[in-house]
Amino acid sequence: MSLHPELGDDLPALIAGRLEGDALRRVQAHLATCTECSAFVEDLRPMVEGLDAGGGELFSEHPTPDALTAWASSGADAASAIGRHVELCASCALESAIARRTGATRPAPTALPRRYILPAAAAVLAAFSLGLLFGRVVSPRGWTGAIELPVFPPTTRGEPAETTIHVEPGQPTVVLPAPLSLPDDIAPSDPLRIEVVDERGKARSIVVSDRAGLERRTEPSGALGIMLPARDLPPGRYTLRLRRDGSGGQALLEFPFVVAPAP
Amino acid sequence: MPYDGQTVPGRILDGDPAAVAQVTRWITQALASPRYWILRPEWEDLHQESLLATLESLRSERFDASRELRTYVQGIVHHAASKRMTRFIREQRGTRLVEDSPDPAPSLDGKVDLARFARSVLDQLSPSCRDLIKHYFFEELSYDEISSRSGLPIGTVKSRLARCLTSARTIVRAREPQGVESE
Repeated sequence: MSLHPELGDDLPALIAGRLEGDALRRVQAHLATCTECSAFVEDLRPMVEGLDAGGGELFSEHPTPDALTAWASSGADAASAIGRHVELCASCALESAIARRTGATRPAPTALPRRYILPAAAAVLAAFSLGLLFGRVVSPRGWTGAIELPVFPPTTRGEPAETTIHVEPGQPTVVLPAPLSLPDDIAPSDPLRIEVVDERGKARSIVVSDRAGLERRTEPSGALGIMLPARDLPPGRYTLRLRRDGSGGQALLEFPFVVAPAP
Repeated sequence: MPYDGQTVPGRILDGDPAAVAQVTRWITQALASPRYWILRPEWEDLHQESLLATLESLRSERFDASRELRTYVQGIVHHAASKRMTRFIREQRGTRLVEDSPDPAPSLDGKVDLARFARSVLDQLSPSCRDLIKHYFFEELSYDEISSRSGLPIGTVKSRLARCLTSARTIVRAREPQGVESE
């Protein structure tokens, strides 16, 4: 780093904001004419400002993956030691957000058990990337079979046609790809709730996100894949519904469907 | 089962939550680096893409079990993120009037963002550099005090701090989009 030896130890001291008096003025005068040194100081500015903003917490150890998952599943207390760490750690914030998004930390029946996440996601990816309605997947636990991927007919609070989803014996996951078409007056940060309810109105799955989050996860085909454990959807009639979270009002999108054993 | 069930690859294929969490940790650490700071809104999608690519790779036995899985997984992340970065920058360039204007570094908005960025830089540094920066910048120890604590000569402390700051600068600058060639 010693760009100009005459500065001695003054450059680190200047970067750290520890220089005063004549030494400070001397280095400032040098920086005014030396683009190399001034670029060095300027480049490090975001890190130094970040150190000031974050303080000693920035030097804390990362929680273990298990501890982070446990923290996320127990309400993600922001005031706890892990909460304070996550607040200032982009990778741990991302990790805990992923855990929450995948539902890995949600209790059943709204949760998609972690062992089903990979095969289900793979099925969606395979089906969409190949443009097929059926994707052949091998589950990590040995299940091999076709996961049916019917795309619900696009409709908004009309009289949507009922879609039948066939489930093979032993199939771990049901994937519900719903066309995502939202009204223009929904802002990117508006909270939205996707729920799957059975005939009696009992919620089988609830996912809360916002418009931006849902659109980010929407495939190029325009379909948003909702994955659920097949055991949470025994044969019967269901409705997948999207509404503004907390509004309790009319659904923005609604897709009735039937789950039936594969013929 | 193509891999030993006791190894991480085997445990991933068996759906072991702890093994999947470990891979997720590797992926997020690679993604949440200054190099990919501009892709923050896409980190979650990139994680999913990388995780699926890892799983597919393990299923088809493309991973050589004698190698380190962490390096392999993070290589997948870098490949996916670099592709996304190239596309992102081309889109950005397409919206600018002056084609050859430099690519701006992503903005850092607010204290939390700045602090997260600093943490990300620190994570890329060696543990000894992190300690040195903590002593000098946060605890505001003098070179003498750092020397006493660490048992290193003062000259070594000074030269190490200088080297650490040079490394930090390289990492900080990695957030500036560069090196994307036009088609």
